[in-house]
Formats: sequence, structure tokens, C-alpha cells
Amino acid sequence: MKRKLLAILLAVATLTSVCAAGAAVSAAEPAPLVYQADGKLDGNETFAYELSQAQQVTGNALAVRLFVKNTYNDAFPLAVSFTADGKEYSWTEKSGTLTGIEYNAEGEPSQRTLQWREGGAVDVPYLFNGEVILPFSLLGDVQISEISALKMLFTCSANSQFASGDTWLADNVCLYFYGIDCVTVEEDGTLSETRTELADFTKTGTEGVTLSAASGQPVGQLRTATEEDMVVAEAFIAQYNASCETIGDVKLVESFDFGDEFAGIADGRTADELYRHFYLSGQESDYSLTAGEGEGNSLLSYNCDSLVYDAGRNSYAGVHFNFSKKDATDWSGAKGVTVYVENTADYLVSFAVEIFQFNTKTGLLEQYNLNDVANKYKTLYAYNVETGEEFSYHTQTFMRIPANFKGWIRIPFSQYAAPAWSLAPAYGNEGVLDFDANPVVKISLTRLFNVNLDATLLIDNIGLYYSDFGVGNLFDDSVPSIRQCLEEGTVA
Amino acid sequence: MKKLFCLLLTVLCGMTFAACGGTTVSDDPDDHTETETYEEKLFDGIDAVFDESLGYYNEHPSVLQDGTTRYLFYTRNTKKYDASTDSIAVRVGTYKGGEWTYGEAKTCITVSENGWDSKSVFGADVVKGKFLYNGKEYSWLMSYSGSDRSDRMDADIGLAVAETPDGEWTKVGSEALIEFNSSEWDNVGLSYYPGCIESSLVSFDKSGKVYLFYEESEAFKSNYVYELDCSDLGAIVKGGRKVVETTGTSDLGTSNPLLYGGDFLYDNDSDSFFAAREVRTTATAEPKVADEVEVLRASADVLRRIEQGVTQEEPADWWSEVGDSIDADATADMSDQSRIFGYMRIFSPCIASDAYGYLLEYGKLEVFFTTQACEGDERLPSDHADAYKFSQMIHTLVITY
Repeated sequence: MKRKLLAILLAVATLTSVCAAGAAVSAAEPAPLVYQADGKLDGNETFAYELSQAQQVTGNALAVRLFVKNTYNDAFPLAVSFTADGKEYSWTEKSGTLTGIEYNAEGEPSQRTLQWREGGAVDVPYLFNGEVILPFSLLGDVQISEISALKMLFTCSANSQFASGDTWLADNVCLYFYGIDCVTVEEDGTLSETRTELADFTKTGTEGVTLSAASGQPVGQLRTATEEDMVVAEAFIAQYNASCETIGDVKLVESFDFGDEFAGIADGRTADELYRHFYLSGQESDYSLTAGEGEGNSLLSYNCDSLVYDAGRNSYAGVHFNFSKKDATDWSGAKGVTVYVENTADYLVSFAVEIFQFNTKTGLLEQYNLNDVANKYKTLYAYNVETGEEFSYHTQTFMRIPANFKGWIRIPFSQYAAPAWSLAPAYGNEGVLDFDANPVVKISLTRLFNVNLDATLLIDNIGLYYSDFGVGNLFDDSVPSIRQCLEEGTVA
Repeated sequence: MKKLFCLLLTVLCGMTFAACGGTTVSDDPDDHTETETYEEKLFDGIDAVFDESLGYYNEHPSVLQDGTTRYLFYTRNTKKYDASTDSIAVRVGTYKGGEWTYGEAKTCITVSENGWDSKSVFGADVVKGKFLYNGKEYSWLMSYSGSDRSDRMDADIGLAVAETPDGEWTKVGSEALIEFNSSEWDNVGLSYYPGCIESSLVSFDKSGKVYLFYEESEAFKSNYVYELDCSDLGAIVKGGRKVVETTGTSDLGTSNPLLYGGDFLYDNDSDSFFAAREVRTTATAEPKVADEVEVLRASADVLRRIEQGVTQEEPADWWSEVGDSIDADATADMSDQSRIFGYMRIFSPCIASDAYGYLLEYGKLEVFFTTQACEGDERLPSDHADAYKFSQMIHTLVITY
């Protein structure tokens, strides 16, 4: 595995150093701070840094350099404030966009539009590796001379309405912080090469940093990144920038494996990282990554355990994930979703593949599934790889997986709809899937708990298909069968 | 219309047989050596296409015309007032004097001694083609539902073949072709499903390839069609099993209408399918069957096209109604004061087709359907509390378009 170089800028120690934005440091070089919450945050937590010496403000913006390795949603809400001249300043935007500078695996920068969130927080996307640029101009007509302290507020996920209304069972947030600089944003949106360092956590470590919680002890913990942490980060970034694998006309957006990028990392750490890629909500359900057919292939095993079923709670359970690859968020040109699933039970089991489109116009995450206001049937298409049978069938809300089925299910996008509740103004779902304009950033696999007790689902691949197809093609070969799509098709 | 229904085959033997409730019973289901009194069914409207005594249910018609001969297949019990004697029968129709006359019933198949169709057989359809079975080529293929339950639940669909429609029928193998396994589609503990019923055959190539339409009633009721190559019945090739979308139809009380009791035929000229279906019943008294049937039409693309990709449009309305539906008013006989109300139960329709399941005549659809008396009708004989279960008749009306 190639050691991709992660940290940028921060090796330069001078106050007004000149850095090449694409420069990188190796894993052995100074390491950033890692904030990690293994459990669920009880409330918002604050990362505060007291500068050893107040620094003169230069430029027109603050740049926070970080890498989001793990977040419970498609983006992590981060609110930044600072103390200058004895007064605390914070951004208060509630909507709209701002600019981020994202670095790819080679350290090359590109602009990325970020979203303001309620309360002046910035949505920092999952696996964002770069700098969040916070313009001073948004603070109003203020004169700032010297900055003496910096704060970053980590918003807890409790009752996270912007996610999907879910309450996550664990946060598992993991952020890498490199530093904070004053920068100059040019008219074309690029950064000038001159910057003023306010904090370089790769040098200071935790010195001057305090972590606090709104009440009680913080759940998250700070540490200086280990060499393994850095290699893991590099692997994530390399994976994020890699193209999705394909099988015939299917682009895999989630294969429940980590790729060759993780080859140099200890198996235990890789397994742990893969496990933490997923998040649970609703009733207590359990999942694991279990060995599948083929070397290195793993499947998601997802179960609703009757032993922990709480009839007093909601009837749903869900396992969720953001996409490991940027390429997986581009759904333009695809015809529908396809899932490889195994039902090992002698009876029907069911689950939903809910997709989350990030509406770039509204800045909101929109949920789509097989719900319909009139409870109309939805039609799914299946190819049983063991029997060779292809068939279509009706379902409602959830995908029904017949007993002992092993194979691919195809769900045309025409079958997806925004659930009625999400169209209420409070949620702001516009109800229009537009993959040319909007990325899809997250998938939730949800199950109705009580009818799926102790029924384990094995899911190997989730992908997008790109071909028109027929169900078998004994009488009509104008379009390929599902099997032919998988064996001979291409992702166009 | 009373008819003496005695089949005094004993006369042929030169024997005298007293019509006093004799109990001689033959193994041949067509051999009514038992003397029976003809009991007239309840006529609230138009005549039936043939008459058979109350005590015999005549239902699930399937009518095809081969040349100048018609064959009317239907489900009947072979023993009066005995629902355990399901059979598929055929009557040969001849055209005389401007109307079709259907001859005596001949039994095609009965329940097997054991296996999947050991308690009931019903709802057959027949198509012409070339079908090899056990080294012999047959010209006629029948699909029918069967069950190992006498209530016809959990039904499967099997095949039979014959050299002529009114000849000897041979069941294909001992297993069903389309098996219904309720647990396959059940996770809520229900076990009372109709299963796979209402099969309807349409030839694809006038040879061995056929469409087999049917209705599968598990937790979700849906219409399906199988593409089958039955050229060699020892090695049937199954293509995909497709949902037959039903948009364009509507039923009270549901967002998911069904082509209940659907019978399909193909119109080669317009590349479209006609389907006769039952309108969803709202009956609360037995029999809880439909009170209206109608004919619909859809482009054959309904079987080919899948709406892929993102669409903001409403799904295509595949089906549109052809002509007027057949309800009680349509079945009334205004020339007879006792029949001016028509029938309260109208169900299990079919459209007469050619031998291959194709349209017979442009602009004209002859629809056959079943009627049945209701439970508690005081006109039914008091000595048979369940006489309404043996009162089904088959009628026909023409729909033009």
C-alpha cells in the first residue's frame, strides 16, 4: 500500500510561513490531535485552545485544518469561535454555504462547498480532509486585532433532526485536528500562500487544550495521533479518492470490505475501523462483518435479537453508513439500487434500503424509501444466483426477501418516494430525486423489529445499476436479463 | 327448463333400473349410472350456456375456438352435492341456427390419488401448440390449479396434455409446475392463503412457448406471468416471472387493484392484451365473490417495459376498460318478469379466444362468466343447507368495442 501523505502545511513552523498547499508529511512526521468518542455524547463537547501568546490577525478568514474520519451522519457539525481582544466571536449563520479546501490522496487541493448548519455550525462532510474557511466578514463590521483563544464545539447527535430523525446509539466520532491559521481568501476562492499560524496541534499536542462537556465529563477523548492512526487516515483518504469497483453494469457503493488501501494495517485495527463505519439506531440490533465467499470478502450480518427487544420502544432498528468513496456519492446516470442479499431463514424477512440525497439547494438531507402516501405496492426485481430464477414481485415500504433467497434485488429509482412525514416544512424534503444536481451521501438499512426477530440478514454488496433490463428474457431479448447485466454489462 | 338428468346407461345393457334413488356408482366420473333428479338452478337473469342440475357447480369457464368448433372447459363436481369431487370438464360447442350449443360434459382430469392436487382441481385454461411429453407430441396444453386441501387453499399450478381438446388428458408429471409455499412469503404466522390460482395460457409462438398468467395470493395479492418454453415438457424452460402491473384499474377500498380472476388473450394486430377480470367484491354474505366483471386492454409492453431511473411522473396507466362492465343490470332478462333483476354474484370471467389464446374477432369479445345463488336464498332446497355452493352457472354476453 502506498503511504499517502496526509498532513499538509503544518510542518512549517514559522509564524508567517509560506506553505505549498499540496505539501504533505509522512506518517512519521508530527502528528495531529485525535478526538474520539467511543460512546454516545451526553451533550455538546468543547475543544478549547489557549494560545501561549496572542497572535496578530492577518488575512480575511480563519482556516481549520482537520480530517473527519468518523461521524454518525453524513457530516459532522462543528462550531468555531475565538477570543480576540478580550471578546468572544462566533459565526451565527444558519443556512447557506461556505468554502472548504479539500485535499485528495496526493495532497492536491480543490474547492468544496460546505453548508452552514443551525447555530453557526459548519457541516464538515464525512471523510473531509482539508480546511474549513470561515470568513471574518460574516462576523459583521468588527475590528479584530489579536486572537488569544480558539474553541470548537462538537455538537452531540442526541435527537439529531438533521440526520433523519434518528437517535444514534453511539456516536463514534473521530476527528483529526492539525491546526488553525489565519488565511487570505482570494477573489477566485483560492487561498493565498501566506498564512499566519494560530495553532499547530502537530507541535503542541494537547498542551493548552482543554476538553469539556456541557455537563459532566466529556465522553470524547483527545490523544496525539499514533503512527497507526496516521496510516489509517491515509488509508481512508486513499480509499475515499479511489473509484468504485464494478460488477457488470453495477457500481458498488458499499461492499462491506475495506480495500487494498488497508493492506498494511493490522487486521484487528482494520476490522475495528470497518465495524465503526456503521451506526445503529432505534431498537437495539446487532451487526457484524462476517466472512463471505472469496478471499477477503466480508458481508454485513444484521440481526434483530429478540433477547433485547423492548416493546416499549419504537418498532424500528437501523444500521446506517456513509459512503467510503467519493465516487459512491455520484448517482447520476444510474437506473436504480441493487443489493446482494442472503436470507438464511425458512421464512420471509424484510428490510428497507433508504437513501439520503443531499439537496445542494436547500442544504438538507432528504430521505427516500419505498413508502408511499397511498400504500401502493412497489415492484422489485430479483435474480436468485443459486436457482438462476429471475422474478419480479410486489412489496410495500420494506423489501421482502423470500425464504432462502440468495442473490440480487434491483429497485428502480421509479419505486422510491419521499416519505410523507419528510415533506412537512419542518423537514424540508422537496421530494425530488435529482442525481445530476445532488449527491447521495448515506444509506440506512432499516428493519421492522417485531416481524424480523432473530432473523439474520446477510448483505454483501449494495450498488447502482446502469442498464435497462428484463426479468429473464426468454421471449424478449431486446434488453438483457439481470444475470446478463451482471455478467456482460458495463457501467455506462 | 326442467330436465330429467337420468343417464340410463343401464338401458344400453338391456337392464331395467328403477329410478328410485339407485346407488350404483361407476368409477368413471362421466358415467352417471346413479339416477338423479334434475333440480333447476336459480335464474335471476339470462340463461346459462348449458344446463346442469343444481348440486353441480359449473364455474371457471375457459372457452376457445378451433376452426368451427368451440371447447368450453370449466370446473365441476362429478358427484352431486359433493365438493370433494372436483374435476375439469369440457363441453364441445357447435354453431347452429345463429347460436352456439354446448354438448354433454366430458371429464378431462380429476383429483390425483395423492400429491399436490389430491383434494381439488379447478380453474383450468387450455392452449394449442406443440408439446413433447414422454416421447409423444401433444397438441393441447392445459394449466390448472390444484391443492391437497379440499378448501382449495395453498393451491399450486400444474399441467396436462391431450391430443384433442375433448380427448384423453394426461397430467404432466406428479409435481406442480408453479408451487406455492406460503412460508416463503410469510413471516407473520398466517397459513391461510389461496396460493397460485386463475391460470391463463396464451401462446407466444403457436408452438411450445406460452405465457402462463396467474394470480398469487400470499400476503400480497399480485398478478404474474411466467414465460415458459413447454416444447419439451420433460425439460420446461422457465423464463422470468413477471408482475403484471395493474395501473389504470381501480377497485373500491384499495390502492392496489388486482386483475382478480384474470383471463388473458392476445391481439396480434394491436400487440395488446385483453383481460377479463372480476371487480373487487364488496359482498358481505356468502358467496363473497364479485358482483361484476369487466374487460380491460393494455399494450403488450406491460410485460416488457420496466420504468427505470428517476421519474417525477405518475406510473403509466397500462389498462383501460373496454366496453361496459357486466353487472346485475347487464345480466337481467327483461322479457321475463322473474328475471328482471339480474344476478347478484358475477365472477370468474373469460373471453372466448382462438386455439392459441388470441383474439377471435376484431371489435367483439364474447365474455363468459359465472353466477351463483346466495346463501340463504329461500328458493334453494331446504334439504341442502349448502345448496348455494352447488348453484354456479356459466353465461355469456358480448362486449363490443
